Amino acid sequence: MMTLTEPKLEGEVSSIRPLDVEEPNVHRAVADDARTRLSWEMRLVLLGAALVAGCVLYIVLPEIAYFIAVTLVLIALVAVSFAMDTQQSSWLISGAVALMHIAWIAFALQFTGHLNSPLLPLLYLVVVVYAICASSTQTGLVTGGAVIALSAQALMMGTASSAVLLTLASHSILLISISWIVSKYMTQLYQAHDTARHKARRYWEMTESSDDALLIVDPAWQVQEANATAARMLGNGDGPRLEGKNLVELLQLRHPEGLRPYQNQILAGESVSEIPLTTTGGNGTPHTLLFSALPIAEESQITTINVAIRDITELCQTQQELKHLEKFVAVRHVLTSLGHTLNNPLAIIRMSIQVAEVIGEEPDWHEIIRQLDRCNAAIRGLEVYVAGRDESTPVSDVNEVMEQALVLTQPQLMITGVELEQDIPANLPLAHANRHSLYHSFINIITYVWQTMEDWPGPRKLHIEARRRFEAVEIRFRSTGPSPEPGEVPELLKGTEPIEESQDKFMDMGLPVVYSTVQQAGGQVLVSPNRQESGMLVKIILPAANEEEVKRHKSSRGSVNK
Amino acid sequence: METPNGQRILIVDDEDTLARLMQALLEHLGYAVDRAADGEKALQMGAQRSYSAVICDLLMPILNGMELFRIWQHQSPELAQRVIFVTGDNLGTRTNRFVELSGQPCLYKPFDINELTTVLDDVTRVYAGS
Repeated sequence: MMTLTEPKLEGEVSSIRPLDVEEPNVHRAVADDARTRLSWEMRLVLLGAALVAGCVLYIVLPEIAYFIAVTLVLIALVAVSFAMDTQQSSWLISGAVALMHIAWIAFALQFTGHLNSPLLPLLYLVVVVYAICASSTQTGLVTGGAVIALSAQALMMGTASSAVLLTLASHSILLISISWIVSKYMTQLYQAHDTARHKARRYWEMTESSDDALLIVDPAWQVQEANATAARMLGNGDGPRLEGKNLVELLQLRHPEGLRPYQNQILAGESVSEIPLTTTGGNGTPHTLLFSALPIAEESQITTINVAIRDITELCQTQQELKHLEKFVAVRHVLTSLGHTLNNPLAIIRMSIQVAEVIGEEPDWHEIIRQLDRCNAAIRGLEVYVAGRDESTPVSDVNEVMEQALVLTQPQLMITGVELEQDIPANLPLAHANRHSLYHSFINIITYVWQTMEDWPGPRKLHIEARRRFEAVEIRFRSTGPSPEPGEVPELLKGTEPIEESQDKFMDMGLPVVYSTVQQAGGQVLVSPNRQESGMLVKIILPAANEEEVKRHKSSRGSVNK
Repeated sequence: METPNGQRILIVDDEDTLARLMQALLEHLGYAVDRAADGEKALQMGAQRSYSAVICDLLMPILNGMELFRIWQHQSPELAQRVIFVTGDNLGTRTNRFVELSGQPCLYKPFDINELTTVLDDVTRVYAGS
């Protein structure tokens, strides 16, 4: 079933899902209707044949044989009725005919003296009640009339001539009933055609207005049909007709062999979705495309492939710009913190010297050295921050990393008026996580947390604690402030929300960085509302380092210290 | 430098060393100096004594300089007008926005002692005039 994305509205940003299974394929719908029409023709032939056979049998066969023959006709009628479709009316008709059949046989047998049961009046009552119920619909009215007529026929078969007349009359009613059913279904068929035509028009309207390239190709990848976007995207802007051309060649892929496994998958009957492809950029600019395809099979044979292609070049560029912006914002925060951290000791050093000069005393050199050490620690923090990821340190001392992260983040907490509490035991096992990544994660979480509390009118607290949990190390950042809605959490972690307008915020970027970093370390990040009070809880669970890693960490530390 | 005898200054800063150094300088210049390590303490001291000027750090625990200033704006507007802010958060947009809106002088660390005495002189002169 070829499907389309809804046409993109002005200013709307749709998700990158070129294929949407809700929209029907008009070709298939028309084919289904054709089958329906054929089936109905067959049904008419069958019904006509059954009626003729019933009349012939009545004339040539003895009375009981006639009833048996009519029974067979009615069974055929029931079967045909069941085969029509699953609509309610069809089931009603089928039920009516079945009951009519029972009544027919029962009253006929009673008349001929073969059966004399006290249940027969009850059976008759059931038939009448059913006829009344069924008459709530037009079809039911006709079949109900037929039932009553046939029942009357059976009761009144006193003489052979009256029996013949009434039987013919009842057959006429049955014929009218069937004609009614047929005309009703023919009307439905025309309505189905109208609907199919309407859908076809809508389909092509949507196809033409779609920002995605939509194509129907055959299993040899020859284009059968393509919309205007496809002509623009794949026809180098001059919009030539694409029909008959090979789609894979039209794509001008940088690595055509990369598509081959997917082609095989499609030809095996599996759909593919959002495969990123890069074109060579025949018009000078390489493009990034998302390729989706849905094979259509007729009797286990792939007949056509519906393809949707979206050009995401601009989106990729925007994402790239966002990444740069993220780095810029993060660095800006770190520099602000660093500035604050450095300015205090620098102010003390300067004032120590100047005041000593004014007062005429010797400066307190020990104090000056102490302040220089503070500056040095801050600079070291910055060095760690800007240093490249060191793969040789797969384990981290959470205490040490947290201390370093707080050097750069604590001033921001103070600025925001966030009260910080820490509870990290000294004997916490080493965590299996890259020290550099963990350091960045802590900075990002703390920055994220103080930003959520920046405009919070209530108490602003951040409680950081770490515990050993079996073979893992769990670090919790529990903050007051606004609580995330449960539905927001995946977006917070995976960064699907658009970036905030202000460049001061990296609320929509900080946690996704943490999420990917911790996942790479084999850990988990969980975000939930803070149950103790309003706010949020960010939990990082990292595997504890094994003995071998601890030994290696200690020995490397020893060599560094030497 | 002129020695402003009889004028009392309140230094509010959680950086004890810096506060002590400023105290030593100002006392040498003839000011009487009190110190508070946080905004809450300063609030109490401001209610008990009259000060010619308050040298107030912006970032402090418990009650920071911004909150302290806002309280004084409501409770002691005259004292609020005699506040000189001191901050090391020189790049912070939030801090800069606050200082700009407050209309009060601000010394950015590491400041020169001449800057301090000049600003202090301006503020205390206005106080003396009033």
